[in-house]
Amino acid sequence: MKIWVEDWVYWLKMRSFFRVAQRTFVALMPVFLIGSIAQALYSGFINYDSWFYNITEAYNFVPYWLSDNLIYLLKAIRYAAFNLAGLFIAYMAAEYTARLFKKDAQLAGITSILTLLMISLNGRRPGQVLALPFSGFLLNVNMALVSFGLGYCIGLLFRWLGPDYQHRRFEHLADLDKRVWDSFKPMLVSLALGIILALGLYILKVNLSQAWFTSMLGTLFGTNNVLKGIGLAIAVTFLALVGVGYPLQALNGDNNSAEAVANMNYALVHGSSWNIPYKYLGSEIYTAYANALGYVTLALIIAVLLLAQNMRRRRLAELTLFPTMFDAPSGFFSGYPVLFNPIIIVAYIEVVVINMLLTAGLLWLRWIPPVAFAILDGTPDPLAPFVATNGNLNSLIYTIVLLIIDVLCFLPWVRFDMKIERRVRDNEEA
Amino acid sequence: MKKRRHLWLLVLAVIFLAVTSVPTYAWMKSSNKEMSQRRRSKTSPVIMIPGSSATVNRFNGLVNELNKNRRVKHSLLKVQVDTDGKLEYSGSINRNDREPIIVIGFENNHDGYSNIKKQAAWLDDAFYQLTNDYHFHKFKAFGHSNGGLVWTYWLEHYYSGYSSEIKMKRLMTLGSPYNFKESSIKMKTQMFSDFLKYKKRLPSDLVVYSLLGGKTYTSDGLVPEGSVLAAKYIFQNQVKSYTAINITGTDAQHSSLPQNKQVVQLIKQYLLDKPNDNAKLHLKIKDK
Repeated sequence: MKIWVEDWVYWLKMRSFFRVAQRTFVALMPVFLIGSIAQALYSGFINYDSWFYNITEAYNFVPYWLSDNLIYLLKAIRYAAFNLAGLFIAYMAAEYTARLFKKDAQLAGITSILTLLMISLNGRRPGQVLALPFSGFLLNVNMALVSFGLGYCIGLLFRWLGPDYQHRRFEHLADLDKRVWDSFKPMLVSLALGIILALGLYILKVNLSQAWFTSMLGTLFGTNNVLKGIGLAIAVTFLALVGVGYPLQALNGDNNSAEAVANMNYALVHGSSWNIPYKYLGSEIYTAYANALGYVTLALIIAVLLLAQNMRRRRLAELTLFPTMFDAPSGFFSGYPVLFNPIIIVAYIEVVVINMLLTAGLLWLRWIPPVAFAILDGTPDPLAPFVATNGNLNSLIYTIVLLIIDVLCFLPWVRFDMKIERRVRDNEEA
Repeated sequence: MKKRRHLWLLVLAVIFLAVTSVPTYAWMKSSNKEMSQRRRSKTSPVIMIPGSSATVNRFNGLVNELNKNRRVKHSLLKVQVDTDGKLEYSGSINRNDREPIIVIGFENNHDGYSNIKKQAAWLDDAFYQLTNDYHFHKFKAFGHSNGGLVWTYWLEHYYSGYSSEIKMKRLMTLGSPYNFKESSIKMKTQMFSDFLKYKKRLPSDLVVYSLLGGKTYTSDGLVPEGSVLAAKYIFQNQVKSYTAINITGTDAQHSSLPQNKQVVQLIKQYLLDKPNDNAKLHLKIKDK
């Protein structure tokens, strides 16, 4: 039975889609690592709403101009790394796909960027003179599924329509010229597809925006039903790990649903959150105890630190431990890679479900109070439930115990993943 | 050796969390205390801003009128903001007064858009201090003439810093010339264009009343009617509701408006809390 599962996962991971995904995201790790460090510094330390800035009362001694400029700088880095990441992802995905099938990789990459930009054309908003006429929606790292999928498809078009090509160390100008002309057919077909898609979006008045996820999120923000909450938590986690990060990101933003506000008002007036009206609010349980952006990923990173023989992975885990504590795990997501990694995705869902069920159970038993108080942006995940319960010690202890349980849950999965990966590598080397 | 290094990193992370948990705990306690004070507070002041050239004493007569026949009088606190941002207080807020009136005036009370911007910044200095001193979490705003413009500028540029904690329930402007001396919105002043540009920042749950005087058919003797009515292009479809009310008869001239009998009635009726507003709220909480 186990052998059968292993063989099947191995077969899956040998598919070009997953091989390309792994390479694409590992290659882009430095970009996302830098972005996630900037993000962690911004939301944990420097921004005016941030945790460290407020607990140290830095506004008393850090001059305004300094914070202001630092915030600007960090936002710019974050923007450069994440908001246009779709371009890098589309390039890399097409490049690796074409390379895998021994086609012209460079032009496949460029074609892929061009096509993505074409689909992102924002015809409805002409904008100002200097503004680019593109919608940032698909270019954002939170839509990596689309940019990656597109890059992969264009790589495949090059596979079917382009002539074979062996990358060589030195290329004469005449060879280059021939290669460029040879690539015209797949390039034109890709661009034609891009134009058709763009026109379709334009004619059907599809507004590329986060509004797509609003109703799903609205339910998650407001549901007090544990099972519904778990179902949506699985959906949000799964989407985030296959490159649709908008719902998870929004979930980690401000929760201004009527239910959450009612909870906080009740807690503030009564000085404790034990008897708030909505105890099992899915969004609150998820962000406090099952957050794929922070808490759960932290457990995975610790599991990797404990297990990894592989220098590359261990260094990655070391570097991403701190950013992840401040809900900025992108470096780890892409470097491990967690994104499009079937084994790790299953592991995440298991851990999320366990955490949500356990938490709901303990809330029901009244061992821990629900979280309801306001916390600062970027409060480290292991401290967040403690703060959000106005300093309940049981919550702190539970947070630590749960983290250990999560690490233990991840260990067999990480081991299994490493085993499969060794098999893939051996096969590729052979 | 290598294996030890990453375990040290975990130890370091734990130490970091343990050390920072102390100030985090302190922050949490003080923040929750402050927030809960604010939530429990039943104070909901009316904050008034006089027009240009007027001092904090501009509304003395109006407040007397409002206090007539009231068992519990509104207490009156006057705050003047000096050009260097220093606050000068006169009067006081009674401890049991749930609806005190606070008048904020400016040492530099001149007309003009650049001064309105400055006055909005001074207003913010005073407002910040008042929220810290009195812990209210809702209030009503009133502005005569340029005072209404200062409120609008403040709403568009400063309010977002408070809006999660403190709510402006209602805004009443009295003869506020949103387009200065222009009677038609075809001629947009810089200020009016700016108000339009940032109108998306106005709170969607705010109730706005715009009162205008009619001395002649087209003006209150100083401000053109079209300039006051231009407010609808800023507020309509942006705030919860926007109502314009035209006042004519005795004392309908721009500068007499604050003493106008109808204005006093309208303030009582629309701006001030009804005597049983808080009682209802109390019942609602008890029901739960």
